[in-house]
Amino acid sequence: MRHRQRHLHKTLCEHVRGLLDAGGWFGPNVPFGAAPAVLQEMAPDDLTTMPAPDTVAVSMGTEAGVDDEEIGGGLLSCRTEFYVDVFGQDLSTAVALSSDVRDGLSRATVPLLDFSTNPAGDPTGGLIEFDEVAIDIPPVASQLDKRCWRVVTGGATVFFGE
Amino acid sequence: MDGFDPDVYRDAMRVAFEMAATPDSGEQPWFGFDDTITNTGPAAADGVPFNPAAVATVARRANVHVPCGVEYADASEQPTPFGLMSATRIVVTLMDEDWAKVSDCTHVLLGGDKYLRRRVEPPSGLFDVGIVRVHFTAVTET
Repeated sequence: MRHRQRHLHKTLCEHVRGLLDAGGWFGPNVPFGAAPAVLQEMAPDDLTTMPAPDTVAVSMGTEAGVDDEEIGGGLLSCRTEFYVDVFGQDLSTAVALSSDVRDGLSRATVPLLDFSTNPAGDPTGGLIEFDEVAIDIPPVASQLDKRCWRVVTGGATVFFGE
Repeated sequence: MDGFDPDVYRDAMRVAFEMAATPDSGEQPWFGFDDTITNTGPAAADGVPFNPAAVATVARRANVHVPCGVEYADASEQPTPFGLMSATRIVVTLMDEDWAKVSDCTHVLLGGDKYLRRRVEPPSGLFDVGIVRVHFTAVTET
């Protein structure tokens, strides 16, 4: 599959969108009466400006090399780090939002979709397994109000045929 | 305010801005805007289609020049592994009527360099005239 990481990123975005939707974060009855969440399919490019309240931004990090799986048969795997930045309107909302995302990704396995022609994605036969999903508090480095910023980090390993 | 003509003031300020501008119009500040990207198939958030065979259609809006004042500040620190902590920047001052023509700009081209829009200062003015000051930071330096 060409450009696997692009499709992995989009699949992760759609999975997070589903998690937020299931949690009611897009409305109409948003938990705690908070502002509806905004899903952004890339990291904010300017951290000197506070994103809109309850922005959830999904981005990808380092992509490891492709490994052979021991079960043979041409099964390969490739792990990519991911980041889900959560900018809550307040501390409690940031913690709740990031908690819902973390719980929805922890030890989850979802099909890898191909978005080349179908906006809803076509199954590829590949699977994504999420691991080491944790919630991080970004270090102080900008003017943002860190109390409302959490980052859900982890790895997304794609299993696919040779 | 009696005796204050907002149009006269605006025109006088525009003349002052143009007096200080370089005579080469191509080197003067030109406000630029985001491209409008159209895809026939699925695309990522930055507008690039997922299908390598698909080609996005890019509509480019023409740059706009309006009279404005420019204050330039050179990069004041040495480069760090994180980049310049205080990059070269400009502060552009415009009359409210002119800002209305370019308020959705994303960058300014000035003297062959590109400056990205960062933030607009809190509103200020003189009686009936709004004065807008916008901060930009350099992404290219020649």
